[in-house]
Amino acid sequence: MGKLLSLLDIRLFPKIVIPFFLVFTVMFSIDGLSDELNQNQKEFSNSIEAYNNLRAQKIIEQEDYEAKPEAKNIEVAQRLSDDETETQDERIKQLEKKLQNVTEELQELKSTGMVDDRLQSIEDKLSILAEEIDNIKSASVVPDPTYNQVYGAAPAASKVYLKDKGLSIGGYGELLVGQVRENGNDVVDAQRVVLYFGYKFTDRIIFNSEIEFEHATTSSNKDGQSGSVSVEFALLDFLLWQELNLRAGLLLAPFGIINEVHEPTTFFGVFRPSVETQIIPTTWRENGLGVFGDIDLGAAGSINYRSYAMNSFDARGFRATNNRSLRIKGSRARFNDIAWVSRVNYKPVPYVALGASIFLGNTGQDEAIDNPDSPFNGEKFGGFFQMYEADLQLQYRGFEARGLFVYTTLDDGARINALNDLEGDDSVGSEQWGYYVVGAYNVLSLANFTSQYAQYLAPFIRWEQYNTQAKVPAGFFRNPANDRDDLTIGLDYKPIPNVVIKAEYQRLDNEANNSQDQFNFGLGYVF
Amino acid sequence: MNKTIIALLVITIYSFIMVSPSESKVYMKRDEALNTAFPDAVEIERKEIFLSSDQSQTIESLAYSKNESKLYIIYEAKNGEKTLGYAIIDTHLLRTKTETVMFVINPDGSLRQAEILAFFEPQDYQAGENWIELFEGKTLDDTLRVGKDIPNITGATITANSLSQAIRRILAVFKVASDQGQLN
Repeated sequence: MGKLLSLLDIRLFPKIVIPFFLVFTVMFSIDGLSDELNQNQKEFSNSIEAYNNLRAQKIIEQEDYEAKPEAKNIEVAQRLSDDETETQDERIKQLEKKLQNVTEELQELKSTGMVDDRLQSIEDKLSILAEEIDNIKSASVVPDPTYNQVYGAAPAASKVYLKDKGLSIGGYGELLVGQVRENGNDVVDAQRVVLYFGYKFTDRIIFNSEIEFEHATTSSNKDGQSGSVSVEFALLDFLLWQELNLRAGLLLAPFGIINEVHEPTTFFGVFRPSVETQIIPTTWRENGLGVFGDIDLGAAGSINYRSYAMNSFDARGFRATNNRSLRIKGSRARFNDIAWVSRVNYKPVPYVALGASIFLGNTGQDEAIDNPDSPFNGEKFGGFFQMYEADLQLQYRGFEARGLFVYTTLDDGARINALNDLEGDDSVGSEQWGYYVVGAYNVLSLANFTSQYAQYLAPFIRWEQYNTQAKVPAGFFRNPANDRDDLTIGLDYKPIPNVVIKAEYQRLDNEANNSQDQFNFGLGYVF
Repeated sequence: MNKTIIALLVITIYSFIMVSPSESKVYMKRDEALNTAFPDAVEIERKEIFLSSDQSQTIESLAYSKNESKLYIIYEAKNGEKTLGYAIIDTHLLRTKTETVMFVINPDGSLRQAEILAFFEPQDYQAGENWIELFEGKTLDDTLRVGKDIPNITGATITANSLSQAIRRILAVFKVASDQGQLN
């Protein structure tokens, strides 16, 4: 009886309800989606049939023409080949070439003064060919033929012409990433290779993912460090309106600049800014769902936003030096605590972007403190964590600049220290803050390039200051080594927009006066 | 309390999915696009332009962009004797997938508007309207290069480059075709 009553405990209610509702709604959605897919298949075979009819008609017309005894032997490419060994592009090129040849022969004929009605017939054929080729090229926007009205979701006629229309592949990476240090080892790393896979099921349901291989291998090097393979994100987008869409899966937290946009060609410096890696902490991705959209304000610009509910951080990851261990990375993540994470980007004009992000969530994750030496032994706690961020991005002709500021505050710091067995100046920060500014100028923007891609050479300078122990809980101490500043001066060179070569000098300093000079370099690519 | 709210949120969001429109009118088809571009047109005439190798090379040097095809379909919108404008529908590659864009050109050769008719990469890579509007009124005399007179789209560099190249190429195609009398 007591057990039954505890089942009715309101705190357990969501744990049971959520899974049930998810199952129910997923069942309904699958039903609806499979209907859509079935319909697509039906339409596909309908359109194949329609196409074949049209083609048969054309063949009959051609045979009639060729049967005429006076017909000159002009080869007209009319059968759109079913041959799977030729690619779409090759076929189009071949057809265009043949079309070109026939046009030239026609000019010749015209000049020899051949009979007009035959020429007219040939010109008609050419027109048909041009139309067919154009239809292949712009397959996705060819209007539905009027004799068949039952087309629905994805581009209709395109199903006939486009084969693997849905799959999209891309990637980026950072290679030959080197650090030459004043004190310490010189290291060169195959830092990351990322593959991107996307699939467009329909115009409204799209899959998106990135798989990342860090530090080349998951086995350890001689210094005991190993690489990793991770799914950086994997999500399903459900597009509704431009202003409001749904997204669910393993999501990149919409916080800061770098976390969502971190291809090596999009930021200055061999390494991502320390403020973003140590405090924010990128690359931060968790399981969740939410909404996103783009709001057009006309002359006032545009706003885009992402707002997600995600599994929150785990307080067992709080440390004095950085927030990186807070991340669960979506791997069997506890969601005893759920966080709300949102970002808004406002572009008043295309040259300026203002951003702001927020994180609110408990981090206790229902974990009891297991520390016999502590007065908090056996307790659970909320560990409410707040993060606030604001940033500005500017670009004008060759000039680019960014500025970002982030501030965090943590409740129950003393209990978290007990949880993680942290004492003295190893304490977590009950307040943290950080900012950076970076400015760059593409000196080649003044040059005139006649090639398809302009080259790019930008010296840049970045200044960062951050303190992960700006404040600590009462009874604990700050370690001045956590009050840091980094100066980076470097050069980014892009022979084409998708490839970047970076080199820089860094001075890493802190209030404990351990400063480190180093020289970094790296290659980046994106496709 | 937190969790009940989240549970309600999940339910609401999933209900959204169930009632969402399954029919996809996200983008316009060719005929609809042409009619939207020229609401006052009485007639939209379809012209096939075959380019010679020389013309293709001229286009490449005018546009600082490769020209892959020698066949272009140019639509001319007319109201009686008056030409309202022209349209070219162009499909070009982005990352691994294509986008199809309708470029509307004024009789003087400047770009009136560009409308995305189909887009096969993920949504994040699609150029926003505010960015595309930067090209309106431009001609081949303008530089039209990302990082010079046109700002980049952060997170969609490939799209920014491909689309600006396509615009330069289409304006060049129009110029070459009209200069050499192929539009008459």
